[in-house]
Amino acid sequence: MATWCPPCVQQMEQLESVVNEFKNQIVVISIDVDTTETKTDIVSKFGKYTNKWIFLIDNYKEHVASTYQVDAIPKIVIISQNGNIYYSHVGYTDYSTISGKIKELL
Amino acid sequence: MKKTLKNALIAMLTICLFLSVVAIASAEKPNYEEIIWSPEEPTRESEVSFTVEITGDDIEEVYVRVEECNDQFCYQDIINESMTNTMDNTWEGTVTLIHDDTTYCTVWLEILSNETWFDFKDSKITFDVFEETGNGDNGGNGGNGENGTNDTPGFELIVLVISIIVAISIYKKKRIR
Repeated sequence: MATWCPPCVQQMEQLESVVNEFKNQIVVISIDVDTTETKTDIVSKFGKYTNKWIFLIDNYKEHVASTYQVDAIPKIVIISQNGNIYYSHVGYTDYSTISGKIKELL
Repeated sequence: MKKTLKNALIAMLTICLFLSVVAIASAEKPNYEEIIWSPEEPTRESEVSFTVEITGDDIEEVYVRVEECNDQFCYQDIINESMTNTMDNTWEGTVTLIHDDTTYCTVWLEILSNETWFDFKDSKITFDVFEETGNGDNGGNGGNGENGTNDTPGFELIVLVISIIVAISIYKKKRIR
């Protein structure tokens, strides 16, 4: 995600619902893949969510973006407990889809 | 003597403090009124030119940053193009849109003024990007498909011809009577 991306902003609302539903069962991490962005950018745009789940910036050689082949954002990646990618989708993904995929894993 | 020296030091410190405050205050954020893009209705994978009038102290460099998006996602490869100072406060830059499924772009500026970079992410502009239409082939957009049956020029021509035929036949019938 990135703060300048309107679909990412919409995605955050869906993620908030996911976090609320699966509070202590999953770990949610939002990674800003625009390396020019700062903590201030994230807090000013997504401040209402930053205390609800983890936010990181991919500022180490864009490592996450290249590893997960992120060429468009938002990209949702669900990783299983054994570390495998269970689900991956580029673009806005609604709450019910994400929730359904997580339920399949739990 | 010591007191005079002390007072002189305090005065110098005060002046330094004042000057540093003035220096900080003078590094003001540059301003611009609006970013104008051309053509007004750009198409996908085409060139778009931007013109902007920037006022401020010692504007050294200006970059225009263009993000290509659609309603589902935004491409991560932001276009970052240097603008050139064409006259007075006017800066111009041209970018080529990259993607074939872009429906809108958001644009903002980054300005180097007084050796400080200012970004204007909070005053972004957005413009729509259209699908290029070929000669007479206007049916590309899904939105036109639903009500496209009655709106084609062919249909209008048929209605016109039928109306003329009906009018002539009515006129002939009346004449015969």
